[in-house]
Amino acid sequence: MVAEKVFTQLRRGTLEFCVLALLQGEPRYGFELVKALSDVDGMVTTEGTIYPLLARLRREGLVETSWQESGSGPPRRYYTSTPEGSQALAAFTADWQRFCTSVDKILQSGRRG
Amino acid sequence: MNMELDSNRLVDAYLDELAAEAAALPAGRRDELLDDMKTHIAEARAAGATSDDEIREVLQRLGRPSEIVAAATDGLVQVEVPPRLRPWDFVAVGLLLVAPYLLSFSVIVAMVGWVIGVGMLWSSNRWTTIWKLIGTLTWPLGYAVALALDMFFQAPIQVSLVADSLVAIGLTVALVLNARAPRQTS
Repeated sequence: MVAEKVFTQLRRGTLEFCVLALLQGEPRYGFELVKALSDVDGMVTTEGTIYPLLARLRREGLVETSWQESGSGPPRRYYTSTPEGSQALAAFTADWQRFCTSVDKILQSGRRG
Repeated sequence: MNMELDSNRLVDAYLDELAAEAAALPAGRRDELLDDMKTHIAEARAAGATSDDEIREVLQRLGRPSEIVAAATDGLVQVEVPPRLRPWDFVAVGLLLVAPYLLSFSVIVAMVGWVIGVGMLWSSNRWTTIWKLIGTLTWPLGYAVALALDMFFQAPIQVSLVADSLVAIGLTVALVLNARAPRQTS
C-alpha cells in the first residue's frame, strides 16, 4: 500500500490528541484507554506504544495521573486531561478541521478534473 | 504441562526482552514503562485472558518491545559521548614520550618521531593550548631538569636520567588526564 507510510505518520501525529479527547471529562486508566483506542479501526497498531505516549503527555503537563485501587486487579493509574491538555486539544481540533477541509477540497477537485 | 506456567513463561520472556531493549532509557522512564506493561498484562488477565493463545494475543497487540521502546525514546536526544582520547591521540602522546629515548638509536628517527608527535598534538582538539605547550615542552623540560641536576648538584648520570624520565612520565600522565573531548554543539 503506497499510503501506508503516510498513515503511519498521521497516526503518530494525531494519536496524542485522540488520547486527550478520550480524557476530557472523565478519568480513564491505562488499560481502559488502550481498549477504547483499539476499538476504533485503524487508530492503534501497537497498543504498548500508548504508555510511553501517556508518560510524555504527563511530563508535558497535558494530563495528570492518580492511583486508585481496583477490585479485580492491580492498582490503576488514572489519567485525566489538565486545562492545558484541553486547550491543546481545542487548538488542534480547529487546525485539524481546517486541514481536512483543505485536503478534501483538493482531492475532490482532482477527481473532477 | 500446566497452562498457567506456560503463559507465565511467555509473559516473562516478553518482559525480559522489553527490559533489555529499555536498558538505554533513563531509569525513571524505564521503570515506569515496565510497570505500565506489567499492569496492562495483569489487567488483560483479570479481564479474562488466561489461555496461552489469549496471552499470546495480548502480547502481540502490545507490539514488539523494540517498537515500544522506540516510542519511549521519542523526543529523547541520544547523546553519543565522544571518547576523551582517540587512538591517534594516544599515538601523539606515545611519540612525545618515547621519541627522546630513540636518540641513542638514531637521532633522525627520534627527531622525526618527536616532530610528528608534536604535529599530532597540535592538530588534535583534545587539549587546550596550555596543555599542548606542556606536551611540546615535555622533552626540553625533562632534559633541563637532568641538566640542572648534573650542573648544580653534580648528580650521578643515573639520577639525572631517572629524574628526566620521572618529569617526562609525570607530564605525560597529566597530559592524558587533561584531555577533553570538545563539547558537541549539535
